[in-house]
Amino acid sequence: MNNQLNRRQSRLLTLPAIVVVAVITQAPILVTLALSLVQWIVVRPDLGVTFVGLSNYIDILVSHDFYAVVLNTALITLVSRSACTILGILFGLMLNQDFPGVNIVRTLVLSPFFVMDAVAGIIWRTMMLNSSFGFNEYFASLLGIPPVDFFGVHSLLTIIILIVWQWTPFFVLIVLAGFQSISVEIVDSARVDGAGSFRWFRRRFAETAA
Amino acid sequence: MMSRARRGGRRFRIALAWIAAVLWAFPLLYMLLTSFKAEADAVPPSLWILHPTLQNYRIVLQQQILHYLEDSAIISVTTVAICILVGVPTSHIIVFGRLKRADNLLFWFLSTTLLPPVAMTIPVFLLFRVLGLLDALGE
Repeated sequence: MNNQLNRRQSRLLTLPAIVVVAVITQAPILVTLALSLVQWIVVRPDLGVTFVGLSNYIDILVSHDFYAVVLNTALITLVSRSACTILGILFGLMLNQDFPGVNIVRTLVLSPFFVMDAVAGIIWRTMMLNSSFGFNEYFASLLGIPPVDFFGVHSLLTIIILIVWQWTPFFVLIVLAGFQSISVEIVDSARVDGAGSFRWFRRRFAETAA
Repeated sequence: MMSRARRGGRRFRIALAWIAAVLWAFPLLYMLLTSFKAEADAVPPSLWILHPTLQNYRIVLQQQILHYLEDSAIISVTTVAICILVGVPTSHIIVFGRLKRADNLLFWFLSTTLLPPVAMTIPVFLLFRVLGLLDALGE
């Protein structure tokens, strides 16, 4: 094609983004690396800033908290991302049909994604999971059991619940966009070929992933 | 024509989608519902508004809310404008251009979002202080 840009023009057009992203993300990283080598107690400016080499790293590596944090992070990531993927595909399949009010249903499912983290935290802390006046207490008294201690023993579970609630809509968006980009002809031909729902899904999924 | 069983399955799927969506958005819907309740009725949980009131909205509107909304609008509009201006040409090139190693470039862009924003707050704060950009919104 003649209207294709040549290589030089292409590079020129990507330059602004590369420069902006490099300055915005790489500069703070360099500052962080420099800061990691000094001892600086921010709330005690009178102590000054002293160069201490790698001792900050050693402090972290020998502390027991560090390994607990790494383990928790791995656990949260693994569980919440798996749940998000599974729920996202299920919701995506459900919302990929055409029925009255489908746009309202889609908006409802996607809405948690557009809520600020802080607001989501307040809603869940005070109205949903609170053990003395939330829905937690309501259902517990309905079933005659003590309310679940979401903020003490099960705090990890609470974090996972909130991440899944907030991020599943994002997965739904991606899955839905993938489904909608598959042309009607392919779906019809699969139907004619006698593909059932599961085979149809598998095929669409393989295509979406490709 | 759809068979009866098939139509029943369709109805079931539609009902399921509605129920799942309402349950998923329930915390938000309930927040909306509670906003019309009087303060004393907020607890215990109930789906019924005993004394409908706009008092909560009145309180919020008296607190300089327009000033905060203005700040939010300035930040979001500027951010999105810059992102689009800078991002659109590059994404077009990555997709349609004849760039060597376009995938590597894309991955580099995406990898910068992997770092949690909290990890950047202190260096960004220091950089902004050096550049005199703290508290500089709207000036």
